[in-house]
Order: sequence, then structure tokens, then C-alpha cells
Amino acid sequence: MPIKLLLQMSLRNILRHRRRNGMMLAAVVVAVAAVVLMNSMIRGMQQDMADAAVENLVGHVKVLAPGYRDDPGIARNFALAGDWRPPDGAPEVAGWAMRVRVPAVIMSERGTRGIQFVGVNPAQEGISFLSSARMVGESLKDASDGRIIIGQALAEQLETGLGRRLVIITQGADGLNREAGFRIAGLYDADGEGMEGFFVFTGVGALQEMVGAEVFTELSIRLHEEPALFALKDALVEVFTGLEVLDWRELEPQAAAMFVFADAAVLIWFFVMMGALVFGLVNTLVTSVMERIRELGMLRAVGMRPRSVVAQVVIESSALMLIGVAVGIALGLAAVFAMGDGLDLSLWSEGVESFGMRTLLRPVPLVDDVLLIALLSLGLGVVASLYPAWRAIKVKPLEALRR
Amino acid sequence: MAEISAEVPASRGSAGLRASVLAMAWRNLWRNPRRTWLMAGGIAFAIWMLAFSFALQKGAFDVMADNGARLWLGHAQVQHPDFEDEPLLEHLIADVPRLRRSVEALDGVVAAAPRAEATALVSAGERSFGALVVGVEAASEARWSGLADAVASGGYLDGSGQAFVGAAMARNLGLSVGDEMVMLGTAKAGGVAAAVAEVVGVFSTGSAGLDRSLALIPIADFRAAWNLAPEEAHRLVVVVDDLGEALDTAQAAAAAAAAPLRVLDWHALMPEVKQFIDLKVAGLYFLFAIIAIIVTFSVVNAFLMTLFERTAEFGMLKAIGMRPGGILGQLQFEALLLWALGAVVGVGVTMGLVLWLGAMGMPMPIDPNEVMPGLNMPDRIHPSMGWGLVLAACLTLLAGTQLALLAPAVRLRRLNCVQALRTPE
Repeated sequence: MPIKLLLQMSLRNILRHRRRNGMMLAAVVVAVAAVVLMNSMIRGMQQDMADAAVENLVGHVKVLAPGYRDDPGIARNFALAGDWRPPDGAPEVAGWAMRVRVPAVIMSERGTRGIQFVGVNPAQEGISFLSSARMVGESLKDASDGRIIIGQALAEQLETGLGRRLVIITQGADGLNREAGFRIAGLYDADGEGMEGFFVFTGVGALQEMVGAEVFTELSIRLHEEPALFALKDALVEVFTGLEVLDWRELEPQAAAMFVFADAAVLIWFFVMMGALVFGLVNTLVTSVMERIRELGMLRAVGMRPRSVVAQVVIESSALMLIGVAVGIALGLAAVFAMGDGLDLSLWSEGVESFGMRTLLRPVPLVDDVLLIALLSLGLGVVASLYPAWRAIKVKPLEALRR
Repeated sequence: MAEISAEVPASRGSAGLRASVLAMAWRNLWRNPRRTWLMAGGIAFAIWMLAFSFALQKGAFDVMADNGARLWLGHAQVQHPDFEDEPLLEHLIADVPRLRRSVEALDGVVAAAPRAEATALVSAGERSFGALVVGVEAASEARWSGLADAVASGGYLDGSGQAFVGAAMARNLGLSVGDEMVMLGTAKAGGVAAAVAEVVGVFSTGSAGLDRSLALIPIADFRAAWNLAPEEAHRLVVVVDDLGEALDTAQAAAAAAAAPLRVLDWHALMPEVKQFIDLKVAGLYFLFAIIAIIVTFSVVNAFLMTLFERTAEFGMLKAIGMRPGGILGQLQFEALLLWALGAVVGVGVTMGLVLWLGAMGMPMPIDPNEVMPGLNMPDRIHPSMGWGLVLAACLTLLAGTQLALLAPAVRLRRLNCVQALRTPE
């Protein structure tokens, strides 16, 4: 039987029951739109976690001295020329920063806290959260600036403020403790309170002077795009023999594992929605087949092959799904764009921050996911039509005609 | 099929009439068993989805909250009114032994343990770090504290002059079991607080904050070094046997104490865990709302089909004087029975699964503590029924199935008897 005729018959069958098929279509649209929306939100969440992990002084790739991760301290250092550039042939990078990062103790008249003391070159920190954090007071001027920037949360804990002096104690390169006073130049406000209480920044030159060695403990590199990660790593491994070259997934295994979780969540959502849908879909198709028993019997009697009967039902189901999926995706994407500014999760801020997300969730629709949803939905349409199709070919022409 | 409706006895009382309408509705449902099962299946699926996911999450979350509480912070705490917001050394509970006696006398309290704490500079050899030094009553805490079970090397505190420290701190300070460490801080009334202790154990919880910054010493040593009176402490940590009653128990405890004190339950002590749970539940509600809509659409569809197939029957009923309202009432009974069937199957399947998995526990696909350390997720989930939510799910779908009759109702009103009777069955 020619495909064109089959198509025509199937479409006409759909149009015979506009209200019923319209209702079915509405259910498909709601399901697909909800899956697209939810999917975009989960992807947004994922992106957020990755961005937060990368911005949080990690970068896409980091170079560390061996052993630094287990025993972070100035003893695990490496030397690097101040005018270092990524090697030729490496993928284009967004920027890099050379830092000294050591554990330290900070003291005010009112309290004592353990912190990470980070020496930075402000000109290089466009790649980390430091450049975009809201700041009260002044930022660091340059790499030799001997003042400090501390988090709002830490300032509150230490009951101190702008312009005041704090004492910082850390270990020098010779293994002896050094103590020095630092004036607060500015207070930063990061998205996560954890960071605010933990990182204290000063000029990298000033910190090198304090610890008594012109060395660095980390080189952090940020890419324009994640896919270039492995090429960059390879290029760096060749340059930095004897040092550890790690990407953010290795440095932040928590954020990386949440990625796997989110991938699974996308599929779970899909199957739950479609599970709910399939009952109605099968019912609609079976009813439409049962109503046409006489007609099908007649078609069989005049020589229509069972194959064509199956094709007719499958086409009918697929056509319904196709329209539903198209409209559903359009509606889902419209909802995503309507939500453009993001969904405010501040009600759950601490829970959200505890797994490295921001409180404003911006949905991110991915073309690949939308295509996957479309394909899976169409596949489901075919599967759902198998039972009705089997019912249809079970019809014996003689019996059907007698009804 | 008109003979079914003809059985409606006009002479019986209204109770009898209702019973026979119900019987008729039930019979009508089974005129098309396939469709009935499909629709009931949809309803059952929706209820199962919500009830079972919630049971799983509840199973996970209860343990998560309980483990989290038992790890360090307790189910509830009683503190000086300002201590939580301003953890200063001076913000003390004046008479801890009395408070403790009244708390321990309460029903449901497993343990109540005092703690005193201060930030201090902890040094070993040439290295120093800032740490939170906490004085604990080792004998009492060892019985329930998760920290005492998280020993990475050595053992828990069991005598004076000892310290039990986090793994990251031990690594940062280059400490191992048997080494000596020095603690320096500011004592009450401004003096210098100094203490020396031998590290008897190192703990590793997976929570970076605890492992990096916590050092435990016996509370008597703490009081001596920081110049506190023997009855003073900063917190009384309360462990209860029923998570849900933690706040009530603690509040009863505070009321028992004469001094003004502040009570915090685990929601306040671990807001991140509470919010994580709330966020998950909000997501679940959204999922259920969508599924309820989809299932309702399918039910509307099924009733439209029913109506279409039974046009002649309804036309006849109308012709012999039944009002559209009466016919609709009959359909409402059918919808009610359909819902009941779905609800029974949905709740039944969920209960079966919950009983089965509740007994043996469902293993998690990946170790959740690697993914989210600090949230203390269990590695096996023992689902438990959340009946309030099951009821809410059932009622939502009941409303949905009844609302689904709106479209058929409109059609019924417009039904023209003469034309309807001519429709072939």
C-alpha cells in the first residue's frame, strides 16, 4: 500500500475525533513542555555548579606542586617567571592567575579564625569571583599592595571593619611562623557565606615577602569554553614536568558528581512524565481502533495487508506525538524564556549553597537535550501504538463485517 | 445497554436509589474493562509516583537529618539567648547541671551533654592554625556522637589531658596520634587561656568544616584553661529518640529551666539540611502537579469516549424524564469508583513496595557521601510511608476526576433526545 495513502488515512482518522485527539494532544503538550522546562532547570543548576566551582579560585585547570593538596602550605611551591604565558599551540584561554595560597590564622581584638590567605595579582583575577564580587571600600591596587581584602562574614565574626588592622600568622618558607599586621582595604560579598569566612586576599608580592620566597603555590587557568579542557591539560603537562596539572572535576569531585546526578535526573523526569502519559495514549488509540473494527474488517476483506494496518495505527500515534512534541517543546521553551531572569531560590539559600549553587536559578535549554526528548517521545509513541496495532490485526474480516 | 438504566426502581427510598445507582455505576465501569483499567492505572501511577518517591525521600531524609544531628550538633540545643548569633565566651549557661537534670527527666530524651567552646590558636611544633576548641563530656558523648564513630586513627577521648582532632587539621599541623599540641586563646575575664594536650585520636567525617577546624578536649580541661566555673557551659546538646519531637522536647526542657535560654532544634541548627529537604519536596510537588494534569486530561478523554458510545442510552434516559443532572450524577459515581479503584491499586502497590524495601533497604547507586559530604545521606534507603501526602495525592486526583466531568456535563445538557436515540450503538 502506498505510503501516501496510509498517511492520508491516518491523518483523516485523527481528524475524525477532533475533541478526543485534541485532549490527548493537550496531555502530550503538557508532558513535553514540563519535561523541557524541568530539563532546562536541571541543566541550569548543573551549569551553575560548574561555574561556581570554576570561579571559586579553581579555574578550569590548576597547576600545583605535588603534595600540595594533602598538605597545603608554602613548602609545596614552584617558581614561575612573572611574565609566564601559556605555551604556543595550547587552546586559547580566557586568562590565568598565579597565586600564593597558604593556611593562616587571623586575629582581631575580638576573635581568632583559621583562614586561607591568598596572595593575588589583581590584574589577573578577572578569571575568579574576586573581580565580580560586590565590594565595600577599595580593591587591591596591584600585586605589591600590602593591604588585605576580607569577606563580610569574616568581618562580622571578627567584629572589625574597613581601615582596621588585623594580625595574620602563617608559616614562612623556612618553616618558622611569621606574624604581620595588615590593614583592611575592602570587604567583599561573595555568593556563598562559606567563602566569605574563609578567603583573605592580599597582593601576591606582599605575601611572598612575608613568607620570604619568590614562589607560587598555584597557577589557575580559565578557558573560554569547557571542551578545550583536555587539549589545554595535555599542553600544560608537557611544560610543567614534575608538577600536578588538575582539572576542576578532579579538584571539585563534589561538583563533578552532582553532574552525574543531574544527568540521571533528566532521564527520570522524562520517564515519569511519559509513564503518566502512556495510559491515556493507549486508551485513545485502542478506542480509535475498536470503533473502526467494521471498517478495518472491510479493508482487510478487500485485501489490505496486516502490515499496512499496523502502519496505519503506528502512523496515527506518531502523528499525534509529533504534533504534541512540537507544540510542547515550543511551549516549554517559551516558559524557559519567560523565566529569563531566573527562579529565586533564596527561600532555600543555605540548602542550595551547601551544594555549590547560586540562589538564582537560570534555566539553560540545551539543543541536544531537546532533541533527545523529542526522539524519546516519538519512540514512546511508536511503542504505545504496538498494543492497539496488535488489536487491529487480530480483527477477523468476516467477524468484523458481521457486527 | 438500555436495560441497565431501566432497572432504576422508582418506588424505593432514596438510600436504596443511591445504592442501585452505585451498583449501576460499577456495572457501567466494567462495560469496557480495558479502558477502566487503563484509567485506573493512570490514577494509580500518579498516586504511586508521589507516594513512593516521597516514601523514598522521607526514608533518606529522616536518616540524613538524624545522622547529621547525631554527628555533632544534636537534635536540639539549649543555649544562652545570644550565643547562636554571637558565639562569645561570656555567653554562658550559668547552671548547666540543673538544666541537664530537668532535660534528662523528660520523655524521649536519650542524652543531654554540656559543651563549652572557644576559637583558639592550635600549634604543633612550628605550625599554627586557628581552630574551634570544644570541651565535651566524653563519657556521655561517646554513647551517641557520630564523631566518636568516625575515628580515622587512635581512639576517642577517655581521660584528662587528651585531644581528639579532625583529619584535615591533623594533616595541616603535621599531627598524628601520640603527638602533643598547644592551644592558645583568650580566657574569661581577659586572661590568656593555654592548654597542652596529647592527641589520642583523629576523626574523619567527610565534612570539610568539621575535619578542618574542630578539636575536642575534655570539658573539665576546657573549664580549667578558659577559666570557667564547673557548672558553666555554652550549649546543652540534646539527643532524642523521635526526630519529629525534637523541638517540643527541647522547649519543654528550656521551660523547665528558670533562666531565659534559647532553644534551637535541628531545623535551626542545620538549616542547609532542612532546606535541602524542603527543596526536594517542592520539586516533587511540581512533578506531581504536572502528572495530575496529564492524568486528568486522560480521564476527561475517557469520559468523552464513554459519552460518545452511550449517546443513545443517555438520549433514552433523557427521553423518559431523567434530568441531565441525574445522568451527570450517575457519571459522577462512575468517576468516583474509577478513582477509588486507582487509589486502592496505587496505595496498595506503594505500601507493598515500602514494606518490602523498608525491611531490606534499597542500596543507593553511588555512595552519596562522596557526592554530598556533610549531608550525611544513608547508603541504603529504608522508605517509610508519608500518609499525609498520600491522602493529599488521593484527594487531588479525586478532585481531578470529578472536574474531568465538566466537559461531558456540557455535552449532556445540549443532548437532543430524538437525535441521540437515532445514534447507532
